[in-house]
Formats: sequence, C-alpha cells, structure tokens
Amino acid sequence: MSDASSRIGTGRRLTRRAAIRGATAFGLAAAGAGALSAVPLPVRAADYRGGKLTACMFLEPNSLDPAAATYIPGIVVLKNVIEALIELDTQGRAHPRLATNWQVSKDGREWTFKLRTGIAFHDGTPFDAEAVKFSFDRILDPATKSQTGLSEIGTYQSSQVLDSRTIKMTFKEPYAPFFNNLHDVVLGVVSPTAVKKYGADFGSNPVGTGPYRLQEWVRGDHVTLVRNDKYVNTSDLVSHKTPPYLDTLTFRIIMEDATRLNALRSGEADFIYRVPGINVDSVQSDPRFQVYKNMYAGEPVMFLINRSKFPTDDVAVARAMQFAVNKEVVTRIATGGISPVAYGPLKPVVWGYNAEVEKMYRYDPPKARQVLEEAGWKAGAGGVRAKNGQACKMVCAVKSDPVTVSMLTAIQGMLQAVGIDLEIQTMALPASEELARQGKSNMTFMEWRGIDPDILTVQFHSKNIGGWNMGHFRNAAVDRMLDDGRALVDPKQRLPLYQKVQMTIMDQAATLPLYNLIAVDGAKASLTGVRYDVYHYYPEWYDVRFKS
Amino acid sequence: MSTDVTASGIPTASRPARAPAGRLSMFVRRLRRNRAGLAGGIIVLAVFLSAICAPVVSPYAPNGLDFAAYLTPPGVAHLFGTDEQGRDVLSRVIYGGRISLRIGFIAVSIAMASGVALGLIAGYYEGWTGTFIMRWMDVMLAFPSILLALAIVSVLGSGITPLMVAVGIASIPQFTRVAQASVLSTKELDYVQAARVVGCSPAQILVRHILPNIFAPIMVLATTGVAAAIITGAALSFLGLGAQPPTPEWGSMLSNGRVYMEKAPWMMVFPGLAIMATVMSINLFGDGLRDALDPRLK
Repeated sequence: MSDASSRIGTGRRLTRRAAIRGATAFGLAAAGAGALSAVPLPVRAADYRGGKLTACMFLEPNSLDPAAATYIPGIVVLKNVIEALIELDTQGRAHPRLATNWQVSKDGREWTFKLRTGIAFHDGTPFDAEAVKFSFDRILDPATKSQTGLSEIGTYQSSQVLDSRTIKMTFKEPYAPFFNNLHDVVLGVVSPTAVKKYGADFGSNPVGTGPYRLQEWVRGDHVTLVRNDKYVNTSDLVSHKTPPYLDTLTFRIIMEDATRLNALRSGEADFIYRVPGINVDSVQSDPRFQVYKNMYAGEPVMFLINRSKFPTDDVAVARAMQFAVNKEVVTRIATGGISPVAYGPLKPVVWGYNAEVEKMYRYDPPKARQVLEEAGWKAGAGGVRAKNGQACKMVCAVKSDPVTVSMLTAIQGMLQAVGIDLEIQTMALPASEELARQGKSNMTFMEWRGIDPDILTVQFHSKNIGGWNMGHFRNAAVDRMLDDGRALVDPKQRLPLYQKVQMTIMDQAATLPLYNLIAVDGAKASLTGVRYDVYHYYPEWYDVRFKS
Repeated sequence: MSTDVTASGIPTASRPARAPAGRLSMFVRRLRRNRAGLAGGIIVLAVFLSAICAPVVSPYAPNGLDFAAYLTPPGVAHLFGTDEQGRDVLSRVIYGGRISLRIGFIAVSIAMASGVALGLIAGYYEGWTGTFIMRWMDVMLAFPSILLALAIVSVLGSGITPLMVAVGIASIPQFTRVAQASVLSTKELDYVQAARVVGCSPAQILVRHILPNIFAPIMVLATTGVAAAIITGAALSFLGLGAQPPTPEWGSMLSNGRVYMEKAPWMMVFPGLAIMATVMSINLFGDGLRDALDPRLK
C-alpha cells in the first residue's frame, strides 16, 4: 500500500452492506507533504528495523485491561499489546487473526472458531482455547467492571473448549453485531496466568500476544511499549511478516491541545492525535509535517438531551433546542469548520445511516420560539420562558476542556435567544459523567466509535440508564427495535429497523447532534507506513517506520 | 478631616506620641514620596473605577454573542479584538475586573476576619488554646494555598462563591500568624498591663487596646493578600473551577483563549495583562503602604 493511499480516510462500509456512502466526500483531505514520495519499494524488513516513536494522546487511558477500558486512548495502546480473534480491513472484510477460520450455526446461536497454534503470551503462557474462553467469560464477571466489552459481547452466554485449538461460543439469542465486534481489542484475548497473578491490577499490567508488550505506564505522563521480539505475525493486512519495525512505542499523554501541537512542532513527538481544528491549516502547509483526516465511524459529537429531567422532559423543549442551535457556528468554533454538521445519532459513514434525519430540523430560531410557545412556554422574567410557573432553566455538567466549553457557551447564547436558560457547570470528565449517570444533567457531551448501528443501544436503550444512556432516554419502541436489530442476522431485515430507530430518536429529540467529527492527526513527514484501522480512528503501528 | 491633617501636619522632630491626625498626615506624606506605591495606587483606583462603572465605560455587552465577528483582530470597532463567540474582549476585560476584584476583596475579608480573630485568641491565651490554634495553622501552611483552595473547591463545588470561600479559607493562616505574633509583642506592654490591672475583660483588652495597635501589619498583609487572592482565583477559574461560562473572568478568559493562542493571541494577551497590571499595582501599593506605616522607616 502506498503512502498516499494509506493516508486517505475513506467512508467505510461492511461487506454485506447495501448502503455505500461515498468515500470521496470525506476522504479528500489526505493531501500531506509526503505524498510525492509514494513509490512502493520492495520491503526488506531488516533494513527498516529500529527507531523509537513518540505519539501524543489527548486523554489518559482509564484502564489498560481491554475488557474494562472505555476511553479511546486505552484502546489505542492495547491494539499493540492484545490481539483479537479476527481483524477487519478498511472495507470491513474479515481476516483471520488469532482464529484461522470460523463457522456459525444456522440459528445464529453458536460460533465455532479454529485457533492458531504455536503462539504464546508475553509471559510465556501458551495461547489456546482455554485462554479464549477465559477472556470472554471474564467480561461477564461483574468484578471485571466491563462496559464496552459487555455491550460488544451482546448475548454471549458461555464457551466450550472442544480441543486446545477449537472453541465453541454459545449465545442466548442470535446477536448480529458479534462477529464484527470480534475484531475489537475490547474482545481481545488476554493471558489467564497474568489476570490471576495481577487480579484487579491487570488493568495496569496487560499481557497479550501482540507485537508489543507493556514496559511501563507512568500515570499522567506516558505509556511505553517495547517490541515483542518473539512475535509471530497473525495478520494478513500488514506488509511484512517479521516483528514490527519500531523498537519502542511511547504514548505520551498531553491533554492540552496547544501543548500537544507544540510537541509535534518542537520534534518532541513524531505523531499527535487530534490536531486542534483551528491549527490544521498551519500544520498542513508546513512541509515538515503531514496530516491524516478521517471521519471515523461512530456517533457524531452530540449532547444527549435528558428526557427524564425538567425541563427537557418536555419534548417541545428538546425539539426547540434542535431548531435553536446553529450548528455551522458550533463546528466552526469547535473544529475550525473542518467537520460537517450532523443531524442524526449516527455518522453518515456508518452502515444503516438514514439521510432522512437531515430533513427534520434546521437552524430556525423563530420556529424554536413557535414550538415553545405552542407547548405553553410563555415569555417570562429575564427573557426566560416559563410554564406553570416554572422557568425553562436547564443545566449541563461538562468536562472543563476549553473547546467543549466554547461550543457550549455558543449553544448557551443560542438557547438564550429563544428563551431557554442553560447553566454550564465545568468539572473533570469523570465527575461530569457521574452526574449524567445519576440523571442530574440536562445535556451530556457524547461521542462514540463503532461500525455497526447497534452502538445506538449503548446511548438510547433504556437498559443502559445508569450507564452510558446518559440522556436517561426511555422509549419502548426504540428499545424493541434495537433489541430486534441485534437479534436479526439478515442485513435486509435489520436495515429498516435502524432507519426507523434513527427517525424515532430524532423525533423524540433525545440528542442534539452537532458535527460529524473529522479527526485530524499530525505526524512528521518522515513517518511512513501509517494505515488506519477499520473505524478510521487510529493508526496501526506495525508497518510504520521512519524514512531514513 | 482634611483640615485636621493640614493643621497638625507640621513636621516636629521625632516625638514619640502623636495625635492620630498627625500620624495620618505623616502616612500620607510618606506614601506620596513613594512614587511606585503611588502609581500602584492610581492604577488600582483606575481598575476599581472601571469595574464599578463597567456598564458605562464598556463599549459592548460582555456576553453579547455576535458570531459574524468571530475572532476579529483588535481594531477601531473592537479595541482589544473579539473572541470565538464574537464577544468584545475589552468589554469582557472591564467586566472581568468586577469578578476578580470581588474575589480578591471578599476572600481577603473572610481570611482577615477569621484569621485575625484566631490570631488574637492564640496570642493572648498562650496555653494549649494558642498551641492548638497555631499548630492547626502550621498544618494549613504546609499546603501551598492554591492546593488548599483546590481541595476546598472540590468539596464546595465550582462557582464564584465557593471560590471566594476557598481562597479565603486558604489565606487564613497568614493572618493568624501575623496577628498572633503582634499580640505576643504587644500584650506585655505597659498600657495593656495597665488595662488588665484596671479590670478590663480579655475581650475588651483584645478589641479596644491590642487590635488597634496591631492594625498596621495586618493592613499591609491584607493588601498583598488581595493580589494573591486575585491570582489564586484566576488560577482556579483557569482550571474551570471558578467562574462558569459565560461570566467574564480573567482566568477563565485566559483558559478559553489558549485554544486560539496562535490565531487570536489578543484573547490571551489582554486578560493576562489585566491580571498582571492589577496584581503588580496592588503589590506596589502594598509595599508603599508598608513603608509608610513602618515606624522603623522614619
């Protein structure tokens, strides 16, 4: 794969998908400085070996236990340490990884996997069917505190080890997204010996079969991985089969946008995640750097609207908010205008996206006032509307990150213009999430990655209230459609359900979608071999090296 | 009042006892001689006045969103430019002064009231009461005040009121120390002993006789304390723990501006300058005040 093409983020689809969203619309961006040097060379791994890479992340992992990690940076790190059973290419086609082949029973309740042999975990424990069973069973164990894993494993019930290299997994009900989810490191295979040895500390000492192993995690500063020289390559998607080129991968944690950018500029970092939108132009035009722009798959940046808390429990208020907010302004403030405006709970690059949502609400303040007026919200003291003597005052607990606060301040002004009072309470991210879980926030910042529309279950199914359904959204029809959607295996049957679900969620105004985030990463021009994963979210480091 | 000052302000070589008016005139004269202190005083006064008259002097509403004026550089329409919401930075800096000064003065009032009271008690009752209070103060002093304030804010929640309380509590130990030390040196003086002999109650002695005589060092500490409180308040707001959007506050304006540092440096420069100018001039004024009040510097 040439350098140039590897940098182009494309809209993605799954193999069995009918709906193909054009890649070009989102992938135009890839022009970086190194594009001219894209002559494929015969790769002699030994020539390229060596080098230490420093990549700067924007958030600290909350855990390095794949089953318990919920923040993206943990996944980014673990992708190199832990391996999954399968792998998806950028087109969404499945490739073998730790499993060589697989079979599903007719009723969709039993999956049988043949596993690779001759592979060992970093601690020397051999990889076998017992390890796979152990890794999957522990996700169900409440002590593991799995959230993402639990949602991705769906209706998984148990595993049966048929022999050391064959495993059969049983599901309570068919669960359509399972196979695609299997590529995610969240469902990766971990060393049972290490889990038993470290117990609750496994999250600080992950042990897998991956190309890199953990050297150290200094909280608040960095995570360093070193090459696993005994690594046996299991991936079809890499361009060379010997162990990876880079000696070490260091993930530094720099939450401050400007500081992270300066780390790239000063040469301290070779790669940074999330170049701030406002600075993309200047990095792009600098010949020392290249940028990668990807609209990764998942949900847009949005604020979940709490439909169980006054005053957003009134659908009229939630709908008026949709009309009152000028999303063009919001995306300009938050991303420098790079990311397009969002209208629904899914990004257009996710299979099953329903473009009909785009027709539902457009920026129209008079319409917002009319909706409120008709629902009985009359102009009151200080320009704040009131109904039955109660003022239309809402609160949003939010992480004290300046970009998020900025866009929320703009939203605050826009809501004020139609008579809604929004109080912004800034705090640390975990604190804001805790308040949201308890239902104490009217609006909750959210973005989610995922390639299957089943991710809507995480934010909009009532069973996840108290978890990631931070809008406390409860709608029987939505619950039913989401349940049915994950139980059906035939995409033709699934599609109309997800199309309908998106319309219902927006009709109930359970979320305020803002923009389809295009993540911009930046790197030194000398870095080559970067390939993005199936989500178009993070680079795979296996083929990455420095041009000499 | 002013006639009193001029009437009794004749320089009469060091006479130990002076009428109060004489002391005041001497103080004013000394302060006037100290140019840096005077300049500081004038700037503080200017910041004060602009904060009080903010609605009159600021050209725009501090929270008036104007998305068309996104990141406008400083110019005729907007002297200090605009921010990412199109708000006028000058108006926000002027209004920000209200918050910052309020934080400074209220926090110091809290600290002074509680700190001095504790210091008086600790100084007068040297036994275990004094030891207990002072050891507590030592514990509080062991933490940097910003850290202490952070801890208190995390308990009280974010917002301007909790912030003022937090900064105030965090500055109590300094006042207690100074007050206690002053009481210790004052209480053995003859006039205090005399008051005791006459039968004054401890409260009377403390409030009527000791307090007025330890007032000078406390005023000096209070002045520099205001500056320190403004800085701590801005720091907490910078971290998102103080003023909540859209309230214009210098620290949170700085925090907001750092995202746009390259494209719109004016968003950081002006609130930063405002903090610097205010804090520096308060400190200069405080220095001038100390010199003017210090009996050793005659």
